[in-house]
Amino acid sequence: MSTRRVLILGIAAFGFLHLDTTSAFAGRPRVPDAPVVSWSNISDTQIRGSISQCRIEGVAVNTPECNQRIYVTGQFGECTDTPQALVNLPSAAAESWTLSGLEPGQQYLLWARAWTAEGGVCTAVASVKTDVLHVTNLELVRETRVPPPLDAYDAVEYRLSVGNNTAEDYDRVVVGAWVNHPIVWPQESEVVVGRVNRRGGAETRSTDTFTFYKPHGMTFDFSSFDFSFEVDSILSSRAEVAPTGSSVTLPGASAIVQFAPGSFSAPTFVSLASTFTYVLEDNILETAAVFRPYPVVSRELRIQTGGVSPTNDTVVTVTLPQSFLNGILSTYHIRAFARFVGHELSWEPGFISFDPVESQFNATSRTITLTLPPSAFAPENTSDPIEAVVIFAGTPANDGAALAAPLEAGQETQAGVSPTCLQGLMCPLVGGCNVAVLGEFTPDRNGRPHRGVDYVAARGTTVRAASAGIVERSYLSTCTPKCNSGNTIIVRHIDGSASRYLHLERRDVVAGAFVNEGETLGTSDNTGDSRGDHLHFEYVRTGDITTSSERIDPDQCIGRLLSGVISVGSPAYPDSTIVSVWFDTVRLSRPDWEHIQFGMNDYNVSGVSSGSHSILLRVEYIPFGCGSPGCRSSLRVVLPPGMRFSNGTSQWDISNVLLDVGRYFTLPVVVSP
Amino acid sequence: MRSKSEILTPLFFVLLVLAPLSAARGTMRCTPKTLQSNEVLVISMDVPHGAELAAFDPKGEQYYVSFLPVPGGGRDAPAIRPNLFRDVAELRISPLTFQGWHYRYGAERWTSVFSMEGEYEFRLSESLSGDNPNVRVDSCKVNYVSTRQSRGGDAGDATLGNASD
Repeated sequence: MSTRRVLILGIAAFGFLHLDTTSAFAGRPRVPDAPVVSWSNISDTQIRGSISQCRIEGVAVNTPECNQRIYVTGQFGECTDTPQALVNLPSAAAESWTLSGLEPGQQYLLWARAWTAEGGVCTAVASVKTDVLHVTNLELVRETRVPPPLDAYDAVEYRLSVGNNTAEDYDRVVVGAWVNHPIVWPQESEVVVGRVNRRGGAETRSTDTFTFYKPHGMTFDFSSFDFSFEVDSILSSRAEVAPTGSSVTLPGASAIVQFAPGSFSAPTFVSLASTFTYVLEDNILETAAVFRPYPVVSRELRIQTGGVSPTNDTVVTVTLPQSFLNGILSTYHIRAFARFVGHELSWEPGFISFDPVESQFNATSRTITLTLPPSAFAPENTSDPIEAVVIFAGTPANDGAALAAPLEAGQETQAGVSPTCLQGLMCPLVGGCNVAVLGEFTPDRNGRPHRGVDYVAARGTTVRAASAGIVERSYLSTCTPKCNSGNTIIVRHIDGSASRYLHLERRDVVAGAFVNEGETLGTSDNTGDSRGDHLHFEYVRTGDITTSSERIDPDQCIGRLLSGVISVGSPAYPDSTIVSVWFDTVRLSRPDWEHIQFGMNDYNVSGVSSGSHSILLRVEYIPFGCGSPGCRSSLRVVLPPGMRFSNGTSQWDISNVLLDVGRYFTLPVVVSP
Repeated sequence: MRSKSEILTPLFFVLLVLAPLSAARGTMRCTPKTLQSNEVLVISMDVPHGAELAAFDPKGEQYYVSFLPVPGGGRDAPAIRPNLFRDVAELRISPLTFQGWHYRYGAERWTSVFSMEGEYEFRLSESLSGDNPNVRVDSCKVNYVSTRQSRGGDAGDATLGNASD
């Protein structure tokens, strides 16, 4: 479990909208007063909108620079009969538009597009942006050194202020941030940075803080930040549960929570909410990876019991959406996962994980009945209400073994990476990693242990960082007797693990330096107590480099693990099909598929073991106007070297086929040993 | 890169002396301690011993004589087959013609070992590419002095010694 998840609180979304603040955060944090959209090809043309429950309203403004008429419509990601609004604007005109007919309780992703019938300079596509909320200020609160063993990092806390919250129909608003920097942690993931409580209806401004981690001494600006906001909780109910027991039901009976007699000693108000949280979906994929949960239902059920937990098991019945069931593979079954808080030791509070709970699915009624133990009701943080969070997912039908003995050493989890390795490691030697004769990792061999692996390496072979991190030490060992490691480098990785590189000829980095994966550290040699030229490489999963028993065999994490780029998309313009992409259980495309580009998209995969894997595609967007039968499009997947489809080819194409939003394609692939 | 057949030609002037298999593992000895270019270096090894032998020149550069095959090892073929070498009790080496695999990344080549004056160390082990403390390594050293004398009639060419135990 990556502790970056610790920072991730539940983001529940009704719509997802993106505020581009790239330039605004360069240097001293500063944000625009209002979100103004301008497109490169439709100068100053704007689409503005606001969201209310079940309806989206906005204004489209054309400008004299665009000499052609523009049209505006909305596209909703997972809705088969997309509501649309169509305006036909002459140049330099404005017109309001409304998209209605949204079904309560369903998730929609809002897209609005403007285009011209004639094409030309005004042809452009952009996502709509609204003035529901915007960031008003971002300021540094404090910067502190993280305690050992991660003291190579600084914890940087910022305070974010948001304003102009007009989302009056929502329970709360959450702001998410993406940190796109290879060494800043968490990276490329959503972080809750703001929260606005609108229950009283009077609050129009709020602040919240967020923390990220960067290497000590590193100067960071926000030029690489993207901000987005998401709005939460559109389907909820509240009822009082008596000590004698009773049930609470969501509107439409989509969820029924039955509290047994004696669950509460006093009348207790219970709130239910059906929410959507990209982050939790990501979290379950990571913490429950051994169960290979995918696809994950697009909504989670939240059961708040206020300040007390039920003392008995709670029975919950949920009707699952047909759109989710359509995506379940035939070899999969449906399982309920519940959030558990504080399961493991962690230096960060609020550690959460998803574990399966007892459940039964009825295909006829589309209902799943599960039993929540009292321990499933817990506050994520001490200030949060007591709450159970349940997510549903498809899992392989043959995962019983994983249930019986999860996470044993050597067992494969997502993308084939052994759970003993926190991450797939790059071979630290240019030219490959070949274990020398008698160079194996031997923790308890007769005699003295050899808690590293010796790779054959001629003197002068370039040694590179097996993973990104900070050079914690770069030194010439003086240890005696028979313990001298010669020129030695220790790299502390982002996940807290560490790697050691011994007997080097040359050290090209100094302590405190940031190194990316594959960046040169020095060259190999025979310095110190060594019989001959080689690289002695160690990996300390826990990061405790002072305890030799914490070392694990690094060879299982590298060498035979494939890394490469998978290209997915529509090969030819103007085909604008967009698909989400998974590799095994790992989502390659960002959950907010608004960011997927038209055309081909490249996705990096790493740590992939040899053997069988699968690529899953889900059609998210089809060319505009493809709402009716007969719309045909194309898709292409190109595999990296070393990976092949089952027919031996490295490229998969379908063309001129009927695609529907939500359609899945499962493509088996094989990685050669 | 040289072919295996080239490497195993008589240009590699050493004397291999097979010894009884009953001998226990022991030390290795280099004589004389100071070696002139027109002399013969005798390396005596208790047998059976490790499969790999390498010479380290005064700069620490390594020259492999016998080695086990490892993918990506950067060496073509050993001068002596390692399984045979394990039972070799004595090597007689002419410094003027003695060659080994210079183990330098990107420049591995079959080349002369004694190219400068100074202390040379020979190491003997079942595996030299490592630091596993459970793997035995024996060594001996010799101080090489180049006499730059005529090689006529010296022992530089293959000197066939007598079999010994």
